[in-house]
Amino acid sequence: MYMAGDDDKDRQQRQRKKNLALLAVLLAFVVVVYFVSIIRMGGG
Amino acid sequence: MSDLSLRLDSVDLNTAGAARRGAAQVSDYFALLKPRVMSLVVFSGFAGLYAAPGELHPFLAAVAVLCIAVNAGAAGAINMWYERDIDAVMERTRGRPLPRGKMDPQEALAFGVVLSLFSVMLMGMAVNWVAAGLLALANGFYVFVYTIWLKRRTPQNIVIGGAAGAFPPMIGWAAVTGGVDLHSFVLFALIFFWTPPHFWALALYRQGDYAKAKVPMLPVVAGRAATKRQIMAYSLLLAPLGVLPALLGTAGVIYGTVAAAMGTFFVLLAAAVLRASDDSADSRARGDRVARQLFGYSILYLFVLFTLLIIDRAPGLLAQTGGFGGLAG
Repeated sequence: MYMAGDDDKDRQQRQRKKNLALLAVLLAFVVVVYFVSIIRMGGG
Repeated sequence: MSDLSLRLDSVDLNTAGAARRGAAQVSDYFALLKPRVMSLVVFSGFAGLYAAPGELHPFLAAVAVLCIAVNAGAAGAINMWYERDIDAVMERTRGRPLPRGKMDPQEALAFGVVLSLFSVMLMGMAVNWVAAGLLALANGFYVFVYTIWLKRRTPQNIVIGGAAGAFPPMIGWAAVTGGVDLHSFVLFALIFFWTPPHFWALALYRQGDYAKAKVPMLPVVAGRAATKRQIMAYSLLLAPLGVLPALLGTAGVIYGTVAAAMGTFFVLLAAAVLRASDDSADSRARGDRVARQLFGYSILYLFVLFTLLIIDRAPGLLAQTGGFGGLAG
């Protein structure tokens, strides 16, 4: 049987996964920029 | 002809399927990046980077490949945003996130634009601005020249638009050398002349799909016989071009030998496609099978050639084989 609550729960789960994926991408970007800066300043 | 008139009337421009708010999953965003196309782009970009003379810090090389991958994916996302109307009617593409109504089209567009800008800026800051400029050019060429301008207007769409897919090895090369030269231009030309026989082989056995979507692919507009002749012509150009990196010293003898053998087989397959009759449904089905073989073989051809380009440059493996005389050193 269809329950409106189930739909909301699914949507919240999907949103949570998307937020975590975005967080991972942003953290990876920070790490990349950090290492690029270190290498470039070292003359690499 | 106005741009709007090129759109399919039967498909809602805002949403090919009714987008449900928040329905998209992480995998749908990944699918927007056309991961299968991206893998070939990454591979050829890496080959160009690896084959180039000079040195680049391994981390910066990895960033360069990441930028090439993300940029190609971003262009793919913008392409999916623009083509959502025809994607909805083509069997091959109707499972994409936008035709399935998994997300709002504007969301897909924003995703593509942000990633495009991000990849170009990162390439410029981390590697060099020549590579970043070529990356922006490849992206713009794919989106504006191929997707928006040519694809729905001319059967020569993939000939000129194919240049967008030919940029990655040139970008990889520029990431190391900081410029464009004859060697990287030959790698560009290799993919440029490979693209028409590759896509027209696909278009031959997917002709119905393209006709339904009103995309003027060559078999739809000029007929199967003309398409087969064009496939043959481009294959005849491609086969010697494939050997050129060995003659220029970009790659070694083993690359040259394999490229010559595989190029010859490419031409033989193209000849088989040309000979296949379209008189009856049976013979046409056989012709489609040969076209499908050529399509599959064309992917193998490019994959093997770029793999050998990488192996030839790998220290201690085949590098000592040298070129066929190293005309360009």
